[in-house]
Amino acid sequence: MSWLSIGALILGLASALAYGARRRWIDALLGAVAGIALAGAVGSFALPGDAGGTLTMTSAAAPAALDGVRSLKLEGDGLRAAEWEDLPARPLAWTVPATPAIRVDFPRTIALGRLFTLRLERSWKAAGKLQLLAENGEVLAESKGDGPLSVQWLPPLAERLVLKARLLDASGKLVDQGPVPVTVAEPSPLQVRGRFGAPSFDLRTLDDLLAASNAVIDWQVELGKNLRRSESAREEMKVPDLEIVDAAWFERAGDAARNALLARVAEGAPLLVLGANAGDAGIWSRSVKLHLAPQPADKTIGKRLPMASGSLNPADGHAGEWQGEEGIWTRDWHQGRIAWLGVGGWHRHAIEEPRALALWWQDVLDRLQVRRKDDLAWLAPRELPLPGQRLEVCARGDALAKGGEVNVPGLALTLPWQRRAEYVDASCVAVWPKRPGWLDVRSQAPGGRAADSAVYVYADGDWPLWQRTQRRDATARYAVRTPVLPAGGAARTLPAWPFGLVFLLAMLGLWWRERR
Amino acid sequence: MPAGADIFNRLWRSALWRRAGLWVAGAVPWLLLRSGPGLLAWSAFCAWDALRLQRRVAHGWTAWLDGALPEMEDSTALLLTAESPVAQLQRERLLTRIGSSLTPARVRAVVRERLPLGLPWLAGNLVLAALAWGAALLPHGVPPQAAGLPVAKGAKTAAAAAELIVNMTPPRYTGVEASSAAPRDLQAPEQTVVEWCLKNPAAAAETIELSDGQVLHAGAACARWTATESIFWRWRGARYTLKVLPDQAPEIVVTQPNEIIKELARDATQAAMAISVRDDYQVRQATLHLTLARGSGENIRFSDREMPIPSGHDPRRRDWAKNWAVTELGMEAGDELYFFVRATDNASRPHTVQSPTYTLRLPAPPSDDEQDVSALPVMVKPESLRSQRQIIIDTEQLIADMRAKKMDAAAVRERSESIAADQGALRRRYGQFLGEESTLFGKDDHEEGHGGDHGGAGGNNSGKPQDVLHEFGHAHDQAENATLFDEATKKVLRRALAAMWDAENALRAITPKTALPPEHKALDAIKELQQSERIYLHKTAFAPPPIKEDKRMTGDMLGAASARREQSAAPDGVPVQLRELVGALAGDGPLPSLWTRTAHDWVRERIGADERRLAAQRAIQDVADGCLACRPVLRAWLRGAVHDAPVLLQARPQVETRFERAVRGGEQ
Repeated sequence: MSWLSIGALILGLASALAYGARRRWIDALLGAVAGIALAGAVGSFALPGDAGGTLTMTSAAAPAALDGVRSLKLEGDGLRAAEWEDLPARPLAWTVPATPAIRVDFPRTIALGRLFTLRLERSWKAAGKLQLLAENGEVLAESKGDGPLSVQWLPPLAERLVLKARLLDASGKLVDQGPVPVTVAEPSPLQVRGRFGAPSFDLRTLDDLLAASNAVIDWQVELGKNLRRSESAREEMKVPDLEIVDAAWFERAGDAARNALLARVAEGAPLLVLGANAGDAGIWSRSVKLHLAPQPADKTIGKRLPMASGSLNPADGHAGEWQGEEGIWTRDWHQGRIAWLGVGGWHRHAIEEPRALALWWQDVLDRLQVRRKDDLAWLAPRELPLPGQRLEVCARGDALAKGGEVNVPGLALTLPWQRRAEYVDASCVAVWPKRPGWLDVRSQAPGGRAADSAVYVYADGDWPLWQRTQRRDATARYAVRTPVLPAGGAARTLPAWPFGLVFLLAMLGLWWRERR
Repeated sequence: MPAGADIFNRLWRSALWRRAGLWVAGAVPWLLLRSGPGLLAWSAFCAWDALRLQRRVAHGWTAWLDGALPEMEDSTALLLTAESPVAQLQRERLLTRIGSSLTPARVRAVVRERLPLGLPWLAGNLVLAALAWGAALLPHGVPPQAAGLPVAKGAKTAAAAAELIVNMTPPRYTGVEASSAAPRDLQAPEQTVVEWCLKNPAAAAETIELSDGQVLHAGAACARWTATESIFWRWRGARYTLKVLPDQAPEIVVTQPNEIIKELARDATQAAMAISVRDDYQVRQATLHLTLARGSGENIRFSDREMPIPSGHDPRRRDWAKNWAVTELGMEAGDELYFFVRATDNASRPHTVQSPTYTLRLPAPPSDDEQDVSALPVMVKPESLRSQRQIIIDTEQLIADMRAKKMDAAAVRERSESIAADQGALRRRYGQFLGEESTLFGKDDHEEGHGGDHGGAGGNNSGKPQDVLHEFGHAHDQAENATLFDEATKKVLRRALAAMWDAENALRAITPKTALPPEHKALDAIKELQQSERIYLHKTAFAPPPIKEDKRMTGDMLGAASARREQSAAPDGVPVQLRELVGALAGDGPLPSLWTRTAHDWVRERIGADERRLAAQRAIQDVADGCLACRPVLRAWLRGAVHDAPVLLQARPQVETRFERAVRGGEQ
């Protein structure tokens, strides 16, 4: 009971007493009724018990609020995540519709030189075709099948582009289509230090591959005692991203050189050992706990690109801390990582399948977890950004630690980064894009560096089946949220308007009696 | 009744005749105007008129006769129906009378009196026809005033068709007639001279934009362009495609023999050849080249013949077949006959096409010698080498086969390697003259894999540069000491060997095309040798000088030096201008200067198919017109023309936040 209603009650009582004193009993009664009604109107009283209703909602529009709603009943796919997040959690009665839906996955940002892959899963199983198209309608890649589909494409230029993908059924009828926005970024060159004990065509091929990748290479091949051929780096290299040695160099190097190398690895540098010319299993067992066993001479590893197995390799996939498959074994070494490449002869594929070989090498580097430190990463939106819908733009990294601002030129907005409860280490801002297309987002990194990104805002009609999946996912997430009961427990608030009406009638009655 | 019908028919016929003049006369103006709709309308009118006429005659003929013939006594109607006996009597009377009184002249007179000629109809028709004629003429009268005014689109194209003429003069050799046409999509042979002329040369000059970026002006003089590739051209906003039909090279089909290498029967006396050559305009020349190879091993003699293939009555094709007698070809047992056909067409830049080389082989009779030889130890068996010339023929054959038919990679590889093996054997053979010196193989220090080769067969990956080898490798010979030739001969030999090595190298890399030039070089060198000196082989086995173990084991590396070089640069990928252009196309801002030239060059150079190239050029034109929505399309065309997108080895960018560092710090 609020102070306002107590005041109203007192007023009513006082007027009733005043009329009673003059023996105008009816007026006294009216005054009392008016006081009580006023108290009821302003008091927001609640009725105890199992009050509140069930709201039946559709997917088309989100309810503005859920006051007085105890539970929800939903038909269809549900709302978008941004809409659900604005609603308090309530028990939800919903069954996932059986209508077809698809799930699409592709990287929003990719570095030039990496393979772009778009995957598509369908909720049904039937023959179908997935096509990736350029802006001019040319088919860039295509795949057929009745399970999950995926297409791959190697972008040739660093640029921001909007491709198109479409899913066709077996008869060539369009099932779903939509834009595929990708930002192809210029990669930062790899910095490699290589030390080798014996020359080979393999080394030459690897050197060429790295050079063609614009890497900075510091390369030394020992030809004999005090006789080496070396390749000087294009620019000064302080801390290489990757150290490569061959087994012969490691075995022949003195303890000091070996320990220095392992110390560098322990501090975080990844080390790749080309193990094809290993000869001394003991050294490896002692220094890096890698237990090697002789391999049959004619063994080859790999199906797509068969390569000759080295003469000494770990016996199986799991050897102590070492784990591996397909000729590559890796282990963590303090903060760094070591990989043992137990195959050789890849130069045989250099002429016939240069692209496959380069992709295989990229895979080797990725398994070795060759990383380049960066201080800002933009997170991809969790659902398709649509015009008029709230969009959260998030980023993480040390560049945000100082508390900067985000500038959205397209909306003429400047917003401060804000921490979010659901992201441990990211900061976000919320914007409402107005129209489909790229939405530029700019932030300031330390040192005045501009950190730009762009979010592609889809049109409402893009990817209808994918949007359906996203709505279902968001609805499922909402359904598992812990329901919050309406304020005031299970009780239901009394509506104020009947009290107001009674108050009005009582006052009118008083006025009429007074005028008479 | 029959009498009545008969009289009606006579009247009706006469009425038709009277009206026919109107109908025919009314059709004439429409026929003159060649107006189908007008003619159709007039025919419809005639049909309606005839119907009306028939009804009039049918209703009125009794009254007409009554009025015109007093003999009928106003009772003509009785001819139709006469029910009472009196009426029938009167009818009888009329019938007897009518034969004499109703003469054709009187029938005509009755019809003339009762039916008008319909001249008002004719006049109306003439007026309509005149209007239609005037409407057709009208556009011709308008343009002088309308040229400077914005005209509605429909009128504009009508005017356009009238103003500009495209004259096409195909090159004379094609035999295609010159033609001229109104602007529309056209086809023309390659090298056609296309001219855009104004009908009225005094009018203002018109601009014609070609899709490759050229802008032509057709004014008093015609705009001229020689067709080299399919383009579209734009004039007053409309685009017209001009498809250029390139001159096809002659096509040679050898139907007999049906295999590339045909083994004749041992006792064959006949060898069939059937060849047909086709071209799209004319086969100017077609010759059959025959090369007969006789002998075996090193001792092979060649004799060449060349004969023209006669032309028939159709200049576009030459079909020729002949059943040669083996003696006519000069073949004996054990000989091989190589032949190919070379054909030239009559294009201004003639295409010369050569068929794959076919081989006819007449097997040698089984000789007793062979058995003797096979009984001997293998070492003594005479070396069977293919000559350099045969190697060239084999290589050419392989290249032609690769071009002519889709060979699978394995077959190409196998054949290329077998030729490489032949070349290697020949090289080793000649290498003996130079003591198999090894300097041939380490031409630069990058190819360390070959640096230590010795004897020339295969690599041993020793990785030591030349100097080391000479210092303490097992050098069989002081260079060139092994033979007795003078310096000039050795030079030629070295050249031959180097060329052979290059050829073998290329063949082993399955690039037979690049092997041809060194093969020819080797052949030239060998010929030079043959002409200059006689060469003797070593008769004794080759005995390397004894190796001094003490020297070999010293590890003395005097003279050997470490090498250092700059790292090799990344290959140039996409030109900078193009990257800038693509970058600029991503936004709405201004494009780099001269961007159309960059784009046109790139498109012309990289996009081969006509359809796609025209679409790309259309995109360039659209963007040049200021269409912002067309920019991504052009970008896609430019990007699509980058054929070999690079795979770049790279690190994965990683962002580590304070939180992650804290978690990792806690773990350790």
